This record gives sequence, structure tokens and C-alpha cells, in this order.
Amino acid sequence: MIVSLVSSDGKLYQVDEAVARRSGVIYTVLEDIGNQKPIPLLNVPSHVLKQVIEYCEYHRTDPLPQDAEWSGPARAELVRRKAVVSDWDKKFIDCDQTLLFEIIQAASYLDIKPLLDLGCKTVANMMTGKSVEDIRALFHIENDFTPEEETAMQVERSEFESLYNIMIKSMAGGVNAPVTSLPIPGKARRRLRAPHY
Amino acid sequence: MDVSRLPIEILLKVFKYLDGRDLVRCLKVCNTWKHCIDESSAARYPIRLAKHGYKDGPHTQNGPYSSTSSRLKALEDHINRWKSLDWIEERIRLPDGDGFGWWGELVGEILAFSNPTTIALIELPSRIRQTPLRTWVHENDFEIFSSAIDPTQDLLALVEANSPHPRASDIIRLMCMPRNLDNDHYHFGAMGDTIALLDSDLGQLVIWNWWTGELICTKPLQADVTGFLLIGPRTILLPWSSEKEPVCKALALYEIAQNKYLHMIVALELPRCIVLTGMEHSLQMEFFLSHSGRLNQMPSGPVPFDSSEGSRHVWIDDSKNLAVLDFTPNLAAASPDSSKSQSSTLASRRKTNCKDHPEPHADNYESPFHAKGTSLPYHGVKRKVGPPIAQATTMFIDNEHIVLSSRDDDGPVLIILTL
Repeated sequence: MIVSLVSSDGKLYQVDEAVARRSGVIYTVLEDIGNQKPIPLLNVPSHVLKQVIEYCEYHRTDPLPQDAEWSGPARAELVRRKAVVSDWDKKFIDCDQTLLFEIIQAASYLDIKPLLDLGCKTVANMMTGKSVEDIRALFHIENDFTPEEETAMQVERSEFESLYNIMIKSMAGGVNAPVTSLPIPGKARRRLRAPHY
Repeated sequence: MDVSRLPIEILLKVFKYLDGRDLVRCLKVCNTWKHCIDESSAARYPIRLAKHGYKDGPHTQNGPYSSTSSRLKALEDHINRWKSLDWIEERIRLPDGDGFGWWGELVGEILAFSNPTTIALIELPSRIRQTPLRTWVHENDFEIFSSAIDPTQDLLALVEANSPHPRASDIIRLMCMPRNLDNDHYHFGAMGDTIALLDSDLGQLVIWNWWTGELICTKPLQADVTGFLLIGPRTILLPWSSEKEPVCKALALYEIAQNKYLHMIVALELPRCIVLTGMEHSLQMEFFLSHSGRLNQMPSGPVPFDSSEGSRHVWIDDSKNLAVLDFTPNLAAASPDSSKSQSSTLASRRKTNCKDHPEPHADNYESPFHAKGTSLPYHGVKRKVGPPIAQATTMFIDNEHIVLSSRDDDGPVLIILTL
């Protein structure tokens, strides 16, 4: 069966139902109303819809994602997973930033979870390991903090993290080895000296 | 269209894929991002974890720590308890052991404590996991010389008196019998195949490979260095100072290069919130080190967060104060945003003082230290624990506990402080 989709700028796209059903929103529409009429997608312009359809065409046979609650898998798992992107997806999402954000928004609007995840992973990967300045430059974000706020953040940082010395070379292999205690007889064992009051 | 116009909920989805270190940087990008992160416990939690050297625990569907906000709360409470030394004290009476001392090891909240005839296994109480203190005492029919726990195998190894460790070579048995056992000025450390002995009287650190018996090196030290720490089998931490600057504000990390030389990798500045009064004028301090990791068999109760991989507790004692630090080598994490001014001061200090050593990768790593709280003044401990602290002979520290082995009027006692 063929489903007709209309982009925000009035262009008509005809896609297989299986492809259209990748979108949670269209899935619901098809369940509720059927596909007699073209479905208007008021928030998705044609150049974005084209991309979204391409993605759904390629992934048409993938199993539909289960609803995952917010807490979901542990963050460490997500952080690890963000580096795992298939070659086709990588190539697909390798576009200019404006289009990338439009695709993310469209995926969110149309409820296409894997595409939304792919977009978010891509943005997260762009930010990973970058300095604050680099992130601002990358996304054309203006620094809107007042000098006072900047100082305050500096102080907070100094209390906790990178304040201490920042130099450490790889201690490869050294740190995870189990500690073994030694047979040390009687008094020669390490001992806590009495405090001086 | 730029990223700042992305709806907040999408931005939060992006942040879900970032770890604590990256999130800290996002916090400083702009107001929108800052608010976005500040409002979300899911984003704040990993930042707090990274700041304090913890990692997330296993996730569960149910239980007290099933939501991120409850985990964040537990973490904040835990950190505050360390800051205010808000501990619960429990005491275990130990059977008197014919004048022999007790020794032991603390791994994954299990303390194995033994003397030549008895071994006591103590599961320390936990306020995070909400579990009580449990003990098992086992009388041995042979004399124990020492014991060791290998957390990777859930193994408690006991060394029977008079039978040498199968891996030890003869020279080590010689070495284990120092000239004078009444002399307290020895410090031993062992990890992997390395064993190190600091002799404060001679002012030298001697390092052996105890499997082969080979002497690796001897390093002369200033006379007032009284402590060292084996961080890994090939890595040693020593107090660091120079002739120009005799105050110890840093620890030096040495590596055993080519199995022969002790080679300084880097000087690690101590966190400023650690104020050790004695260190202002001398290097008189002792280091202790705790085990990292857990037993394979996790203790009962939910575990919302845990020590980072490879993290070790370091406690530094200058006779007046006690500082507890988490030493977490942040190996993989490159951090280009690390405070430039800080590292350049230290780099320049290094240049003036340690010309022989290669430039460190100053901008690439974050501090391995996470202060557990402000320093713990002994008088504070005394006030809370009472006189036995003065006679404490052994101390164990982990994320939640300070355990002191001591002796009061009725005999040996184990004082457990749960934070």
C-alpha cells in the first residue's frame, strides 16, 4: 500500500506503508484514520522530508524499537554506545549542521526514535572531548555569561576538579593489578603514629 | 538554524550520550545549556560522579535507587557526610591474641582481620546500601602468618607460619627479616611482583622484584620522607619537594623504567582543600593505601554508585591531620579544556625543578585526585572517637568507612566509623 505525505511547503511524497509506519506519528494516523487522504506534515519541509524518507526506506525492515523509559540503560552504556554507528548511518547523517538539526527536529516531531537517537549521538560525538570554546565555535553559540558568572564557575571548578595538577602519564597496566599484602611480622607492620596534641 | 534553538528535550537527549567530563564543559557554554543541565538530575548526576571519582552502579527496575534523582540524592548525602564527618560509630571487641597484633585487609566492604590463631570476617555496615554490620569469626588450627585478599577471585589467602610464600624467592625471606624488628621506621609495600621497603633511618627506598628476588633499584631520599605508596606494580607515589621549595604541596609519581630506574613521571599537586598543617614545614607524612574494587560477589543491598575503575584511597597522615583522597587515574579521558593557567604554572615549576624529566602531557589529563572532604584533624577524630585513636595501630579506609584497630582498657577493639 502507498501512503501520501505532504511536506510543509506542499510537496507530495508517495512511500510504501511499511516505510511510513517507521514514524510513530504516521503509524497512529494510519491506525486511526487510514490512508485515504494525503497526510500533511506541517513541521517538515521537503528537503528534510526527503532525507527522512531515505532513512526510513533503508531501515524499513528493522524491528520497531520498544518503548524505553527515561532512566533506560545506564549512562555508561549510552556513552559507550554513541560511538557505535553503522557505516550507512554515518554517511547518511554526514551533512551540514543546519540539515542535521532539521533532521533531528523532524525525527522528534514524527517520532522516529532510531533516527532521533542517531541525530543525538552525532551531535554528542561532535561535542565529545571538545573545549568550551570549541563547542561554542562549532555550534555558533554566543557566550552570554557575565564576567561575574564566569568567575563564579571558575571558583567552582577550582574547588573540585581540574584545579589539582593535571599532568599524569599513562600508567598502563599498573593501576588495576590486585594488591597483595605481604607477610610482615609483628611490629614491623605499618603503623599509625600517635598524634601530637 | 543553530543548536541553541534545538528544543530543550532534544538537547537533554544529546546530553544523555555525554559523560560527566563533557557535561561539565557543556555547563560553561551558555546560559541555556547551563539551565538545561542544572534542571536535570539525569545530567547533574554524572557530573557529580565524575567530580568525586565515582562511577554509576548497576541499574535496577525497583528499589530505593531506581531513579536518577534518588541516586543523585544518595551521592550528595554521602559527600556531605564526608565533609561534616557525620559518622556512626560501632565497636567490635576482639579476642586478645597473646600479644600478637592483628592485621587485615579491607576489600569491597569486607574486612578480613586476623591474628595468628583467629580470622574475623566483617561485613561493614553501609548507610547507602542500608545493611547492618555482620561478623564471622573463625578459629584456625594452624598459625597464620599473614593473609591477603584477591578480589578478582573472591579469594582469601592465608599464609601459614614458617612456610614461605610459593612465589617468594630466598632473598625476600632475608629481606623480610630486617635488622631490628623493634624498629618502627620501616614501610613495606607490595603490589604485583614488586615489593618496596622504605627505611627511614637510612633514608632510602629499596625496590625488589619479589618473585625473582632481583633488586630493582635503591633510591636515596630525604631523611624526613616517611611514607610512600605503590600505586601499581611499576608506579610509586612519593612526597615531592625541592631545595627551593621544601614544603610538600605535591606528590611525585615515579615509574620503574626498564626494570632498573626510578623515573619521575609527574608531580601531582595536592588539592587545595587538603590542608595538612605539618606539611608546611616538613615531609613527615605517611601514606596508606586501600584496595580498589569489589569482590565479584557483590554485597547485598542496592549499590547506587561505586569507586571508579582503578581508584584507590590514599590517606596522608602528617601526625596532626589526616587527609583522605581518592586517587583515580583518568587515563582515557583527554581533557583539552583543563585549566590552562594551572597546568602552565605547574609545567613551569617542573621545568625549573626537574629538568631531567620529559614534559608531561600537561593539557591532556585531569587530576587523578578527588578529595574525600576537607582534611580530618585528629583532634576532631579524638573528640568523636575518644582516646583509643591515640593507640590506633592500623587503619582501613574505603568509600564509606574508617576502621581503626586499637586497644582500650578491656583489650583490643575495632572501631568502625560509617560515613
